[in-house]
Amino acid sequence: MSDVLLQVRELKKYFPVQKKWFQPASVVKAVDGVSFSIRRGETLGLVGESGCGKSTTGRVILHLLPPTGGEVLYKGKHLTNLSAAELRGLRKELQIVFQDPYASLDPRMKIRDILQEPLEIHGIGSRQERLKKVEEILEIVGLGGHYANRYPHEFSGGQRQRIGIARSLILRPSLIVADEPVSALDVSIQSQILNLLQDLQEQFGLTYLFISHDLSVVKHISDRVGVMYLGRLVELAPKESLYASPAHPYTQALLSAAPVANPDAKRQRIILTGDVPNPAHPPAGCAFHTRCPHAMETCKVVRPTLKAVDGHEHFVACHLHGE
Amino acid sequence: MQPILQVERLQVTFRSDDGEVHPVSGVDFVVHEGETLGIVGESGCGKSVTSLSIMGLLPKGIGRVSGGRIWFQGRELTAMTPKEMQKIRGNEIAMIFQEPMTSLNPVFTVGEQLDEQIRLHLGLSKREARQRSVEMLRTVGIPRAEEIAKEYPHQLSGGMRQRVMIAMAMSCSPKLLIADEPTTALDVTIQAQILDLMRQLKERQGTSIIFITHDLGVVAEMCDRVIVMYAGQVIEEAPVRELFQHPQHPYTRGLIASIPTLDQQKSRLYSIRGTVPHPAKMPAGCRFAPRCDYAQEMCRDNPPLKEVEAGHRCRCWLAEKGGTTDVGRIAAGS
Repeated sequence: MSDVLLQVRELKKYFPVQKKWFQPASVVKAVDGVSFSIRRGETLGLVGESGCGKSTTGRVILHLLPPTGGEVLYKGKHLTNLSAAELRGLRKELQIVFQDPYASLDPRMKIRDILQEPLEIHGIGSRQERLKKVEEILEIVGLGGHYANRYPHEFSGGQRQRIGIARSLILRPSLIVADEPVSALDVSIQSQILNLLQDLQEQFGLTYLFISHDLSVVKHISDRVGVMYLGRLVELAPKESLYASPAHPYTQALLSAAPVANPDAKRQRIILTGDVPNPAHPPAGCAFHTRCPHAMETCKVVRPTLKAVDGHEHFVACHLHGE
Repeated sequence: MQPILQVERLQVTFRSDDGEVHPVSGVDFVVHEGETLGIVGESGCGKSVTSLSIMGLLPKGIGRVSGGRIWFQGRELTAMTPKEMQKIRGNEIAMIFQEPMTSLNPVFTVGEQLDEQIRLHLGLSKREARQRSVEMLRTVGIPRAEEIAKEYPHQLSGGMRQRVMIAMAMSCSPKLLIADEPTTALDVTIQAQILDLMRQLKERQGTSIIFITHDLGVVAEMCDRVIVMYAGQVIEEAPVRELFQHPQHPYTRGLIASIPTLDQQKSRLYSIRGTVPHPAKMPAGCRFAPRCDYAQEMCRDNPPLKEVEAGHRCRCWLAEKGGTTDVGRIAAGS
């Protein structure tokens, strides 16, 4: 398809675990064979619980962490084979917004310098032009140019996240990886930021990879949604289809566990037993079989692959479906 | 129902760089026997400071109760000596916090920490205390309880640690349990397990619970009654169903309208403009007025918390006049 902006194929990221005496070296498979593509102008949501590898996926895509295996294609170009200089050139188009607006801004830099830095690195414009761009971008994210001379501590969490967004936007990227951008914010501020992200997408034709643990937020902002569990993508579907008829038992449990702000909501709650297994020793076969209410013999042995279920574009990795 | 806890015109003063501030100013509420009261609000609204005042755990030398009273089963907590307070704390009133790792001591095993509390408050022998500890760990659904009792907090997962915290809190069968964002740090599937556990314990032991959270979904599932706090004040109080069906205060309505839900689909979310006021620069009059779409001349005066219906109180001049606002208009984002 020509409108595919980013393609991820069998992406893998393994982290070595500190070797102990008399124990063989092992690895944590944070991302273990994840494939998906994102179309131009689309928002792909990636949900999952802590440790499922969703943030690592985002970072490996941008090559902030080198992948262990697999490929990332941006506009048909292999990012994996690029030299450092070529990659730096492409970084203009690939940006990230981090979760913690308190930790991701240098407290000793003025907002002006924080926002100017990406322009300087990429050698864009004269000093005058850069300052003008900084003021412009501050207006765009709803802060006002007069804030340029302040320091990060003078801002609230929501305002800092606006600055983080401005920093990622100032190079006019095509793809933004938003890694839990509203998780640290209060409800009333969260909705301001979500609206801003949507407005910016419309205005600049942005493509988002939106990573979050919050199912409602992901549903609100995404076109398609991928669900991750223990480093693997277990389900991928357009959001209407995913939320209306989740096919994977994990997605079903996740959706039923999310509290709903309606005291009269009656739901069949599936309460999973136990914890997420240690990613250094993931279960054989389907990684979810230890907690799955429908686990069968094959699930313990054979690892399921993503297969299409009813209708187009709805994929699930589960032995209950397909053949 | 008997009130078990009464908070009357509570005011808390903190010393800060900006002089004296009042993170809680004039808070009134009661908790009845066997009920779960939710306290909702965003960061800085004073919900955690309120709970620390009840426990007598305000940071020494920085914060103090500077006005009002707190009554627990006919005894005035605010007039007690630290020693008297210590007898009540952990025994009759227990608390669980958001981050179980910071509330457990990393150098003692889980069992040792449970034993200590049980021996201190119930006066049991070492062996009896350990028995009770293991029993409590089993009650909160910890598998292999005897072995887990010998483990250190860092060896457990987040959900397990929170179960240990709950076991500790419940070990002396408290009359009142204060849970301050107990599931905020947990994943949804683990959160569902913990909420389920708290409901079971409440039914079995008849404990009253104060459930502090910013998550309206959790409130809807756990609470019988809710108070909404904003900038150190109670701005609305109602039974849970009434609050979600007929919210009166523009802030409560705004909060409900600004959460994305799984059920309905809105292309744009409602958002309350501006931010929470700084505690040293509280607006005169209604504290929400600078962010309110309906602010008027009369909002320059501070509105009282008035009953709008039986059991439903609201701090807004408009609500008092019979409620001229409606959620539809707010949700449309006018």
